[in-house]
Amino acid sequence: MESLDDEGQWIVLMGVVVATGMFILAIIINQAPMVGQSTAEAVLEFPKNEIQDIRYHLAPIAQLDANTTGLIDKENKMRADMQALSMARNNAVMDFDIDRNTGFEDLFYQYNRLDIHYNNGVTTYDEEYSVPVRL
Amino acid sequence: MKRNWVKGMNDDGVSEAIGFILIFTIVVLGITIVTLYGYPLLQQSQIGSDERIMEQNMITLQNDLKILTLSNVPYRDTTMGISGGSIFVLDSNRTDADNHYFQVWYNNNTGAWVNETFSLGALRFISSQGQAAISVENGAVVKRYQDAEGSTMVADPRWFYDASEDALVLFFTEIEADDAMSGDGIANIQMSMLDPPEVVADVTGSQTIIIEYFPDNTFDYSTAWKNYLMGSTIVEGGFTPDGDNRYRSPNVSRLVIKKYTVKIERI
Repeated sequence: MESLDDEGQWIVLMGVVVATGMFILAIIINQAPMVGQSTAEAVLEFPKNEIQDIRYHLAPIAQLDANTTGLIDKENKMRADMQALSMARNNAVMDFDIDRNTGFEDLFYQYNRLDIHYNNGVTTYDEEYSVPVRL
Repeated sequence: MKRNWVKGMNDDGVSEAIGFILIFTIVVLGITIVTLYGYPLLQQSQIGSDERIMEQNMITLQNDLKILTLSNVPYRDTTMGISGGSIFVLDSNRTDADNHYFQVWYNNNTGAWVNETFSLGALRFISSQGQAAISVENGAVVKRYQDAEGSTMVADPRWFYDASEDALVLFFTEIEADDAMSGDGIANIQMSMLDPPEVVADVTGSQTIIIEYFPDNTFDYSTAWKNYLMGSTIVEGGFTPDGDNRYRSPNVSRLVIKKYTVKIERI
């Protein structure tokens, strides 16, 4: 072993370091597709537009005065229609509730409260929406 | 290197030839051991990783089916690499012993007891070296080993129960195909849903619903469905068993059953 030169041992060490690094990277990359897929799915599946649509269609009926003739009938018809539509188009269970005696009012408006319940199996969503009614 | 690296040590007996032979022997021995023991292990893990890759592929396929059915998109193409086996399509209209289906009993609005049958069909991957059979059936991904009892659910279908409305929503996905088709290598699976989804039932009124699963003779996924229905995924506490492969739901006040028919155009 007389003529052997061990000055270059750092090359071997670097080799080990790089190999370990690549091994760890490979493991991380292997995990990545699953994470990416489920995250993207969760973002894509939030039914933002569906909920906005429901709110848009329910707000007019929430603005009706408590003394409107046939109010209960109107609400029930609306409920049946909206439930059937939500199920047919978005596979969602929805229901709503309107409180016209919240007692919230300011100079120009009184506020009725519209409770929307929405559930499509992935997203369960409840919101309280204050509908302004001009006094 | 210094001539005598330990002072006073005599290196007359140091031979480069013997040193080389020793190191060469160690290297050859190492290669032999890896070939003898490591290679079969590597192959084993290759089968395992193929199955895992296919599991992910089947989840991708299930996601595409979800887009097709739940998001009302008419056509969908999925291209995937099939490794270590091949993928088959099973038509839901088969009437022989290999057919598997769900049966649901419920009360319709008139108070009469109704019984509906939903044939499922499936997209099924069968591993060529291992014994795994992974299926996409009824919007779920289920897996089993052919020589073993039992099965597991890899990805759930989208059945759900809304606690505040007491509403149970069941989706059934039937897979149809005109011909027997299979694919391996790179498979391009073309799916379509041209018939609108059918609302089989939308009934209100407090009632119990009975669901029964009739498994395929050779590909029995009943354990997977049992664990899914009796676990807490749908309802807190799960469904109650009511005989073999028969499950009773807790009292619900609204039941919705929707049926989708997906056609596999080509693989």
